Amino acid sequence: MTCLEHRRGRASRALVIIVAFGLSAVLAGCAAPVQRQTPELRREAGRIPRIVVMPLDVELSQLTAGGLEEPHAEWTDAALKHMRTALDDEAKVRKVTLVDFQSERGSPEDRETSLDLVKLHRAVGSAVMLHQYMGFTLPSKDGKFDWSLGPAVAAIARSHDADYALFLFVRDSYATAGRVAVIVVGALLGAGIPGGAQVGFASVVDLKTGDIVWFNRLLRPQGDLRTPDAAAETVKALVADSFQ
Amino acid sequence: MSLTRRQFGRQFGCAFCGLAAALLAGSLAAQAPASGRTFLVPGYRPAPASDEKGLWSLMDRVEQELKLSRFVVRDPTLNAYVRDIMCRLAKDHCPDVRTYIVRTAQFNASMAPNGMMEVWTGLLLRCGDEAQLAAILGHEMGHYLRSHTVERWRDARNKSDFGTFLGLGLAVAGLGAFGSLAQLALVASSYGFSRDQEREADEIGLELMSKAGYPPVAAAEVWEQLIDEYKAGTAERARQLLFATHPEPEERMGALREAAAKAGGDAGERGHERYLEKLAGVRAQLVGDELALRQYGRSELVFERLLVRWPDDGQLWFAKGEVYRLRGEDGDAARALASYARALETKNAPPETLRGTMLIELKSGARDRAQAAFEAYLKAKPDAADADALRMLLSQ
Amino acid sequence: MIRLCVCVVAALALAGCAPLVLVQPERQTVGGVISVQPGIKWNKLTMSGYRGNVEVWTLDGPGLNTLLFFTGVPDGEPLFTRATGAAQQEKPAVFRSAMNPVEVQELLEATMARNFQTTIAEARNLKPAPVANGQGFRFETRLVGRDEVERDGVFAGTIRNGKLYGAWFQGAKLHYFKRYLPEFDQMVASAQLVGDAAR
Repeated sequence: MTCLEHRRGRASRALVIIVAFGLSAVLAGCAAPVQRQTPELRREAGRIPRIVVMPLDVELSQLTAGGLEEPHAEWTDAALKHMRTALDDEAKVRKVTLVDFQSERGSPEDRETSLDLVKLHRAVGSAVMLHQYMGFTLPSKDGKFDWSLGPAVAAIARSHDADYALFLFVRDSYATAGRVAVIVVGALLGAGIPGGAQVGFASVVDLKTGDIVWFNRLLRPQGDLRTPDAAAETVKALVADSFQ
Repeated sequence: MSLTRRQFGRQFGCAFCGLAAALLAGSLAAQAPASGRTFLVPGYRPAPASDEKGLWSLMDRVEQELKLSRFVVRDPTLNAYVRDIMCRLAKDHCPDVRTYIVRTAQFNASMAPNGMMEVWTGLLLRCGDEAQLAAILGHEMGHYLRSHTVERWRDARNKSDFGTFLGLGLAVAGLGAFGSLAQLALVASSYGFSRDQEREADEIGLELMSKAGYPPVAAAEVWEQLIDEYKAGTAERARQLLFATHPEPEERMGALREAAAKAGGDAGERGHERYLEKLAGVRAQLVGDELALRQYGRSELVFERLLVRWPDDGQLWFAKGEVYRLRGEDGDAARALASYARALETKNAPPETLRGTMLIELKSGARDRAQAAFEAYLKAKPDAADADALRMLLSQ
Repeated sequence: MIRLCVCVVAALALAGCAPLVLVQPERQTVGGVISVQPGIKWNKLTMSGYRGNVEVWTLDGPGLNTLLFFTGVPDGEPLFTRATGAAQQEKPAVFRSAMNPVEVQELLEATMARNFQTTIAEARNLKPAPVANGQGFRFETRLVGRDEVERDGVFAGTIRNGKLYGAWFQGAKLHYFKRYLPEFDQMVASAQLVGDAAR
């Protein structure tokens, strides 16, 4: 392939960034939003599945008139709070136990491994998004969904006495008034101007194997994550049928 | 990692004091002109729901992430040392400040509005003594005490100019698509202060230094060294980065020298020996990180300058030798051997000096001398992990 | 909301390229000079962001594992470069035909440090190894990039006619490296130099 080999790496990275943050239309779906390997959580001998809620990786930002994203702490804090509450509600309905991940639990090696797994999941989640949903398909996979964190997840299983781990990742930006004005004017002039994008996914990892047994991508529009209702709806949509 | 990101950083020694301080700061801010002439009060907290509070919370989150970073240096001796210097400069503000040493082979230190201070290891490598380190910490304290970052941030937002604020951060940080935007704000906060702000920080820094017993002239020295180093690099972009982020450095250095002379000149404690002692645990790593960048002109200058201060430091002579060996241009083999030989005359030449010698001798075809150096290396470092690799070279 | 499937890859397909191309588990010639026999399906990156005499393959995406082929790095060229977005000072370190394996190991260390903007980049455990029907060498790497993910790696290569030929497999230390190490080993065992490299 010679056509793109001379393109600068910066361009391909910029492409990824644009895809991730700018073009909500792209997120509108090139693949089914929910992927699963196994349809149900294990409920062996009547044991209620214990799910570790990993640190919610959520960041809400403000999209300024200049088109830049300014991280917004208050919105993020609010969204985190609402989402956590919504998760608890879902857990009650679906009969699972949620346990907060605590970095101080477990032996020193387990603690360190757990931390490394959180970092790994960012990379794996990004890969799933990129290669399953954003069109950069990996032909070798043959449509299989075989993403995993590997057997090292036993560290989390041990330290939290848990069966599964839930990861949530959300990046969302909201247009300021100035930005909305730019969008409106742009629309009048016939130019499509991105209004802010939502990127999000949830994954459930089987702590016996490390395999991602359930992965769901957030589809727009889910509403304003700064409000309790929309945050709850988002969580519902994300975990929809994961806790069976 | 706790889920409650709404952290105000630390315990209040006195809840009422905290509140009072915040109110006081608030009222002072109301009186102050836009140039930000208020001096931060110890225990200051931004008013809830204020824009500054937003920035503060952001920095708190960055700090939580930083705590878990692989790039944070956790050497207890070094951390206690840096914290100690910081506290002596900060005085009443000491409880508000937290220092982190980050393993990056570039010269930088920055302080966030929430009291989080980051010092990069490239800076620690370059300081000639404790006083120079204190000069930089004092300067950063100056920005912090005058809330310069908050000022700049507000300014940028008002002018819809957030791009400039973040742009430099982007250039330096180079994060991936799914990285944390919050981290950019921290990096950006160390660049792009106005000339007035830099001058203010310099003035405050000098004052803090002399009050803590350090010679203020060390501040001018640091800046001079930095300018020399960037001049030694041939890359145009390097010069531009420095000059883009620090307006007219030569003029500033001159002003600093004058101000330093007025503030007490070179009267005070250098902490020369103590500095070396406290860095002992990480120095080899710092040297290795600098060498890995393969910026020969810059590295040569740094090590030569340090050798002026510590002329019998075997590790520095070794480092200089490595610069020449890795550069490998005409005459460098001889230069490397000379530096290694000089290192071996000192008391603390690292065993790797013999490894370097061996590699150079081998390249010049002097097998016997290479063999001898190899044997000496093994003797000095019996558990050398690369013994097999070197033996392989000798056998070919 | 228009729910078009505006896939980036569709747009690229119109332009005549796909970002990831299937590599079948049959004998392949990389860069016209290295012939290998993969045991499983791989993916070749057409826009990898790596520049130089290299070709990049992956199994689970470049964020998780990469296989970099060095298809004849000549004297005076860096092993590879990447547009990292950071202000780069000075020219990168370059390969020299007269280098010995220790120096190549050191060079990859420096190349990692520069291109991944990190201080945690090591290469160690250099050993002689048969490569492409001749004498070569092999060593391990360890890298932690800005994403804080630790990556293990292994390089196998040889210098022929003044050029460096080799392959460097790197993957996240947790799961993604070890899982495919046997595949890398068997590919190296199958490797031959062909074309210009064989002259």
